[in-house]
Amino acid sequence: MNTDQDIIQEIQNTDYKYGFTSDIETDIIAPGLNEDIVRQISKMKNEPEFMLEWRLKAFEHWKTMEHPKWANINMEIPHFQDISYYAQPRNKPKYDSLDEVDPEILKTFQKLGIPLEEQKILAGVAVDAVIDSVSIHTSFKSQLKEMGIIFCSFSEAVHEYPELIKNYLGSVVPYTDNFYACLNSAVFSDGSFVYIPKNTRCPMELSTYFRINATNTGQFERTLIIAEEGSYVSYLEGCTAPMRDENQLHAAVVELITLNNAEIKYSTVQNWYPGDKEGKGGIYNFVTKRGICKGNNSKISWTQIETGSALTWKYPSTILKGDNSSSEFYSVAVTNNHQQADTGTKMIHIGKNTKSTIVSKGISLGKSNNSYRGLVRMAKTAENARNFSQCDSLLIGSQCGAHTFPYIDVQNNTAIVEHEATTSKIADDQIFYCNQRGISKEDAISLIVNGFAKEVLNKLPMEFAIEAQKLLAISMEGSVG
Amino acid sequence: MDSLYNFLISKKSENLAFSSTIRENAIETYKKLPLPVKKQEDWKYSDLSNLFDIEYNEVANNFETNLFKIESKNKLVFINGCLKSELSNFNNKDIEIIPISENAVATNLSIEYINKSNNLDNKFSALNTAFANNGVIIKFKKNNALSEPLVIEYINNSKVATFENTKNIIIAEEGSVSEVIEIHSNKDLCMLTSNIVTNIFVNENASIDYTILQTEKECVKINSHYVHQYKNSKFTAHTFQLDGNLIRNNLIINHENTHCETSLNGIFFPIANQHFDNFTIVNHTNEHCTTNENYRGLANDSGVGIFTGKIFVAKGAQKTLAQQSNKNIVLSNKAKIHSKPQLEIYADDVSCSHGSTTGQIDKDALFYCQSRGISKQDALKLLINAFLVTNIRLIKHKEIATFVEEKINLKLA
Repeated sequence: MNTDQDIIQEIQNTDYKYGFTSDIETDIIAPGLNEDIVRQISKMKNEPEFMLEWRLKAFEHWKTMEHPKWANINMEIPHFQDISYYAQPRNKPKYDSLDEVDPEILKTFQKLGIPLEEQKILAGVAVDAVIDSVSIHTSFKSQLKEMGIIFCSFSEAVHEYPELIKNYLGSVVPYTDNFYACLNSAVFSDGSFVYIPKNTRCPMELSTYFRINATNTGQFERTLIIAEEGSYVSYLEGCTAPMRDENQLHAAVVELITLNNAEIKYSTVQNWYPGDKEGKGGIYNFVTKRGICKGNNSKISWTQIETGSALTWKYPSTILKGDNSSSEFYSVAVTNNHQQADTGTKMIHIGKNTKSTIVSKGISLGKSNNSYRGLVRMAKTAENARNFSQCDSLLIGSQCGAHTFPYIDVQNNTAIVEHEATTSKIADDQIFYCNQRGISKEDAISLIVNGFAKEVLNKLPMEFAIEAQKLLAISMEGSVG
Repeated sequence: MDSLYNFLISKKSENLAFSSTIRENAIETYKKLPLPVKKQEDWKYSDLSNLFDIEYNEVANNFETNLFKIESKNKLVFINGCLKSELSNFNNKDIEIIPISENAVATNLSIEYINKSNNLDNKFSALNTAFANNGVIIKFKKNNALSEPLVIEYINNSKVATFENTKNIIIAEEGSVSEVIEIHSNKDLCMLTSNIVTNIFVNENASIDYTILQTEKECVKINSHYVHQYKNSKFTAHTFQLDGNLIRNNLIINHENTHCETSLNGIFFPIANQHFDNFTIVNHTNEHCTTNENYRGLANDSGVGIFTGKIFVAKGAQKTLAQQSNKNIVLSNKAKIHSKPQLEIYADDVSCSHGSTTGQIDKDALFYCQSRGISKQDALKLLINAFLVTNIRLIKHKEIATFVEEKINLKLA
């Protein structure tokens, strides 16, 4: 039978399965960051004047900001002048059918297990695939268009729906919000835009695969989802990236807006390159995700599976402004080797009878550190608001760390807030129980970890649940199947 | 420099226990440390930077009776931060007391204790190390059980704005068993800002039961306790923030060896414009240590109650058991509760948990009482008493328990 040490060793020796580079020719702006670069990006994307103004305002503000220090993370501050802020595949993507797409790109997708054609037919998923920064293929668009649903790349939306963009861009995450959101506002390359009209239920799961491909290119995505009154949409975001030696920067911004009776379900599977066993390389992932339940009875739910990135710094949050609005946050974060994750959520209750649920599971292996940081704020106006938070951490190996930093601010005498957290390792008696019944140690650990994360995995849409389980297995390979 | 620094540097200091090197170093550190403003994570909910810009004056220390008394043969009385030996008495058989104005080396005090009391982790503690001119070193004798508790009374009555640094060091020698009751109370409005730092050394197999009772009129207080626990030692703290204006309690526990046991028990109840901040850290640096933390908070009117509790488990501190619980009730729409329980864990074979709830009085329970002929006011008292009973039961002294209960009922009225 394997000893603990063997199993831990084995997990640590597992290589990153999705590490490969596709040779697609890309156009890259020379590294550096100044006003001209911002203008150049805007010009290359052929943006209207208002976008350029907005970018420049953001850039002006960014220059006055300092790199934040508060996270429980050890990192070297990226050299912002050494990064190239825009990369796009040279073959400008304007395809009608898949045959015209660069075969290399198709191969990449196939390795990742997202065959566009098959998924179109089998899973009924509309995929807006993003390689480096430009949308390559948007499927099912016409079908959605008939229903009045807009699902397109951000740059397309800027041209075709400038009024919507003007109205909503930066309304949830203003460019002044934080260091990386501000940087994103100045130099963002592309992203997704979703608009669901009144009383419409989006018939399929919308999904986007982000991928970082060119060396030394920051990926600055921006997603904006607007759900009009009485509408519903489920949005999936999945990420994988090839192996690189230098740290790559990713600073995305996601904004969600729900009006009366609307619901958005936002699911993420993140599996970017976490760096090698010595902690060399890997993606820096600094993401600002925030939704606002603007209307009454609206709902936003976040589900995330975080297995990748050298550094993760991410707090999908909800502002519960409408009365009776609700929000959920389900998260599993797995860190291995030298990965560091500081992640959690913010629930800001403003409306009456608002409800939020937070379930966060952290699994730490190797020499990694995994922190939950969350804020629950009950404003004076949030009468009868309710929150429940649960944060559990599992430690596998004696060199890793698990931390919990909840912030609870209550300014109201009708609100109820509950928070609980536990940290422990897999108990010997649990493993012994399984051993007794003929289950090997490895299988027992697998069983226990799966059970530990089940509550969150269950919340994922079917298409994603399978991939998520695969990712968990890869992250812990050797002990978990 | 700020006006506080200028005021303190102008005052004459008589602290011989701490060498001039330590104190000069503390001044340098003080200058470098950031102000306690909201941007500093540890002072997120209590911005005390304005305390550095007030014009302070010297004050005469006249005696005045305090609000709450406990009879004991062992008693130390501090008036406006200054020890009054004529009001103090103690049993020489159990306790040895050396004022810090005496040279530590001359009194055969191990220099290790002085070096470990060189607290520099925030601006107030650095200030205290640099300028403390009052305070005593208290020794509980080896293998001796204290027959009566040591009562330390802090009475303030200054009518002019002033700032006092008091530094006490408590050394519980090996195998000693002792009880300390710290009472902060005064009848009238007071303009004194006191910055009290107490270093407590609980040596091998020793145990201390430590009560901090804060019930005073209008005052600003930064009350820090640094506890150093050695093998098999036991430290229990009971903190009751019942009255005052702006109170910040720092309680920092370090486990210097294995098998330490720590219990932290607390109640805070701010009303009107009171601002009560509880800041606790337990550093588990060794194996087989246990922490049990249990704080209950109530807030009424525009009161602000804060609980920050951090449990830090260092690499290698295996078999740590740590449990943290903070439950709060908000009684009015203007009151605020901030709760920040934290776990920072770098060892795997541990069992740590924390829980925090903030809510209000259960309306059904209130209705149940009312339907049985209990007035709403009485029902409220009943339910609040039930909410606090687990914490109150931990108090050893009946007198204190009764006082805490009465005080809370009075504040509820």
